[in-house]
Amino acid sequence: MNETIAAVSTPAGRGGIGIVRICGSEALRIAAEFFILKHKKPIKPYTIRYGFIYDGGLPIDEALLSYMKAPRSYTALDTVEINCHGGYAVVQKALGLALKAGARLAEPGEFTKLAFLNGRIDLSQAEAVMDIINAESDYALASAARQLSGSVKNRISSLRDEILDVQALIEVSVDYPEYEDADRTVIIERLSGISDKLTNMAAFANLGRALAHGVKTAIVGRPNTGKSSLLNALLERERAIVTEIPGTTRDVLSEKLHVGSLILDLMDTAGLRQSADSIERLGIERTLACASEADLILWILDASCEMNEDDLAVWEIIRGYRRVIGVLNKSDLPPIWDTDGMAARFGIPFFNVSARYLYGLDSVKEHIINLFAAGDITSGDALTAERHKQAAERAAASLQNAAEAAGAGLPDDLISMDLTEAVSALGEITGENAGGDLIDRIFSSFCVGK
Amino acid sequence: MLGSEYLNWDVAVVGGGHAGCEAALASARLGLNVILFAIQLDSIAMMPCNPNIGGSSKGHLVRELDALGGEMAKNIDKTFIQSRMLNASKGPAVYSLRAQADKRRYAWEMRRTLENTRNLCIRQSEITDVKVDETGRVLGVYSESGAFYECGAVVLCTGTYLKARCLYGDVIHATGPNGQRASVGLSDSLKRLGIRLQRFKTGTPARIDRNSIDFSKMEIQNGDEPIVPFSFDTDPRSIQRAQVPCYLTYTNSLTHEVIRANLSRSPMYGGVIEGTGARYCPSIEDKVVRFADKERHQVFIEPEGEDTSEMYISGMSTSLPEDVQEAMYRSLPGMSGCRVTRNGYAIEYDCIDPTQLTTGLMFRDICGLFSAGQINGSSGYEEAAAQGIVAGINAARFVRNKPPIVIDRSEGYIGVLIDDLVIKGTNEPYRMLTSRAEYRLLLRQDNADIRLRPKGYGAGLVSREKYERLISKTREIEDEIERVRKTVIAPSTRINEFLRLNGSAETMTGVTLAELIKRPELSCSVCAVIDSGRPELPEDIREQVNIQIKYEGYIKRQAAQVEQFKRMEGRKLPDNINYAAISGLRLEARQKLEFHKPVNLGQAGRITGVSPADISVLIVFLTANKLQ
Repeated sequence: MNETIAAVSTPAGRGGIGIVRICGSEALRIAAEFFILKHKKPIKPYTIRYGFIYDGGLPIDEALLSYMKAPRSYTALDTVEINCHGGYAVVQKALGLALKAGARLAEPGEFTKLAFLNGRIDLSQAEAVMDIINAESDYALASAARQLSGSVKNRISSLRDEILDVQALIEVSVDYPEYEDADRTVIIERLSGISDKLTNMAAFANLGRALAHGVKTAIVGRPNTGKSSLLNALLERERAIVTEIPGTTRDVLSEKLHVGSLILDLMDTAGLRQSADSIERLGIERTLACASEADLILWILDASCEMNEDDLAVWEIIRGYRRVIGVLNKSDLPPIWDTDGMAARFGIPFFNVSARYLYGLDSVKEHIINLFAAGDITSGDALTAERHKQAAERAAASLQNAAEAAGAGLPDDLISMDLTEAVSALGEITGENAGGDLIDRIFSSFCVGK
Repeated sequence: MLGSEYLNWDVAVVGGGHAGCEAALASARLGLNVILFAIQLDSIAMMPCNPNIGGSSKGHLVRELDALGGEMAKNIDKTFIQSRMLNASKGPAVYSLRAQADKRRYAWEMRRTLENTRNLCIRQSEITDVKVDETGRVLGVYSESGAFYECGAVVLCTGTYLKARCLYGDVIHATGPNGQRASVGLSDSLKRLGIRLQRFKTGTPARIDRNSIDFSKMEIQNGDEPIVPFSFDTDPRSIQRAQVPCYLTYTNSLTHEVIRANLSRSPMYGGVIEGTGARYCPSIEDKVVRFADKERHQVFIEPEGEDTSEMYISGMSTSLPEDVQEAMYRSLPGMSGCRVTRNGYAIEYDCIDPTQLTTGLMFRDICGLFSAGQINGSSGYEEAAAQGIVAGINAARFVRNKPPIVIDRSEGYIGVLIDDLVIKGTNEPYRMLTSRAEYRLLLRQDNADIRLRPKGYGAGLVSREKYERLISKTREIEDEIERVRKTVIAPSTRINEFLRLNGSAETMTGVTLAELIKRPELSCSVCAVIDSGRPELPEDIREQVNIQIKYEGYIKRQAAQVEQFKRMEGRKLPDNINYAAISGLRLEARQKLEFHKPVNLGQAGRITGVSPADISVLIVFLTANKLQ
């Protein structure tokens, strides 16, 4: 009951503004961990303050924060609401930051329930509230089930089974001491393996969301390579201001573009270079943040001139990212490089494009479609719901703890505690309750008894 | 009514097994007039199956029983012939004491204790009927002769005797365990009272003459030195003795062949047995069928006592025909010429559906009627005794109009056992397992006294003197933990030498003793040499300090979970809730809640078929009612 909870309280969709609501005694502390006020004076209740959402030192959006002090709020608990305007992705990000800072994801209807429990809703509504809880949880289950495709559910289920197998191995030797002891090295190996798989699935979560809500595509490059021109060309309209002056784009512009069945969340970014201009530098920081969470990076180069230090600096930043496509813009001018040579040099595909004359764009689009349609990456393979991703991460962390404890020579009973936590975290995804499972497994897998 | 009116008793205990003995002793020691009925007085506290007390999780139960003021721990301390601390390498939560008993002496010693207890009368008679008035309150019991015993409360501890049948091959005896007379009338009486019964099955292996076994072909298993007592009140020095060994051998392909070839002659596989058996103690036939790829199974040869040559063949419980049993046992190494003294057999019996009980072990619909032990669907001596003491205490409290004592899941294995039985029910004989205790790092066998003595004292079974001894022990533990936390060890060549010697990382800064003890490779006792200011303390206190410091982080995590658990247990559900009228509840939840009538939200949440959303609905409902 004293937990602080958080959720996005505006409907998902294309609305420009999204609100993250954080509610509970820790609300202000949690918000302060990722929301930095423009002016440092303390927050007074019932005021709105301007500031920035930060993720690990990087600003990701400007936002407004309002604070309602207990008991004068909807739920009668301390409540902080953060208005973001960066669209769906930023709102989700802000929620993720709140959860990371210690909030628990609110259950369906939970704000309403709290409001009722704390006497904020009229008694006559009690019955309606009770109906809502089950109705909403059914809805949430149904929608969670939709979010969770068969193949993902099966994978999580089978990982959960694997953990239970390991735990049964430990437990059977505890409850039947005459049984052979479990081999530590085998246990550590198996736990680390499962943990890695879960970590990967959690990392994949962002991609899954991308496919459901738009592939975050960052257009990056040094200044004046034509990033904004490319955005306009792709959108087939004048969205970004294009000038000859390097560094014109100072903020991240975001637009959606349909490419086949994919939605690209195109983000035009400020050109990356060493700059003395503080506003431009802020823009560059945002570019970095944007690139770091992009699902796809379009690296724009000016095909008409030699690569310079700024280009290589950009490469240094993006080279580690998963999906990067090189776009040689201004190919209408006499080209200096050939795409094959570039591909060999950087290990990524390159395309000749002219944003001005609108050619080469189709092959880029086609490549993107193939990239996301091909092979292992389908929307069915990802954990799209934030709570699923969180649960997978928690399970992975518990397994890591267990493996470390096993390695450090801690006894079986303690290792088992972490495994119980991992199993119950995955149970939140698949809807299975632990309880009897472990005991069933002990008796089905091991021959014990008098 | 036949027969005459007898004395008026406070509590009648039906059955003299491990549950009945604890129930009768508890009620009598609380000052009530108690009569204990047994079909055969010579079989009081009989161990019809395995010759040991304790073991994984069962050892915990015995320690808890002792903390509450029970007898089992003291009785085994007097009559054991071998003792071992199992799981010593697997962590403090699961250390388990197990002792081999001299069965005959165990039973006689317990019977003597009953006989020497004031207010406790033992009576050989079969009880065939329970009398209940029209308001649903128990009035007394009838014996087979028609005698009526009026009493304030009745505790049913009928074990495996109700309509019991023993079977091996095509031999069927209508007897209870070990050839005892079965109880035939009581089952129907319970049915007439509206009590739902189920039919369970268990079994036991053959006994074999030790003089016909060649132990040189087996592994010897000796007891531990020094011997650790079960009871917190037994002085360890008083029980050190020469111990009797057990032996380990294995089945082989020939054993399995013999069994497979004769499966159709087993009443289990021939479909004669209708009772549900436990996965926890499968017969050797079960093991061979279910684990067909396993090449061998362990078999422990354990003495039944010091004054007998009979040996118990642990791991080979069976209901195969006599000739097959003989061939099967003779296939084991060292047993080619073995002589069977008693055949193994399966036993099936009536027991109740335990969800009809409260957590105080009284029937929800029959005031003053309690039940404990195998009649509640459990298996094992220790599980039975643990329920026995709770039923005995609560029968006494019922007679005295006091509310029942309840042990919850965060307080003891006894709580887990009873909660599982009465909330979830069971469809096979229920065995205690440490894996069933969600807070097992807190529910250790070493701290059972700290956890439950206060409860025993509150109930009136633990003397003031013992209680005060516990209080001072607790204080000494706290003081020592405080000291260890505050003692700073300065870095020096001597300290680093010590750390290196023990395979531990050297330190460049001052470090508290507590921090060193936390390191996996170190402990309280290892650190003795660098702890100059260490006070003289008894071993049990030192052990507590070590565990509490060493596993502090894990213990704190579980303590936080317990807090969460307690909050839910603290939210009471009034018994007059009309679940059918709560529209937010799903239909299945309404039915399950109506059926189980949980007393708090925690219980409600543990009922199969009640979801977390249903619990939310109940919270809202309760709050709404409070507001009205």
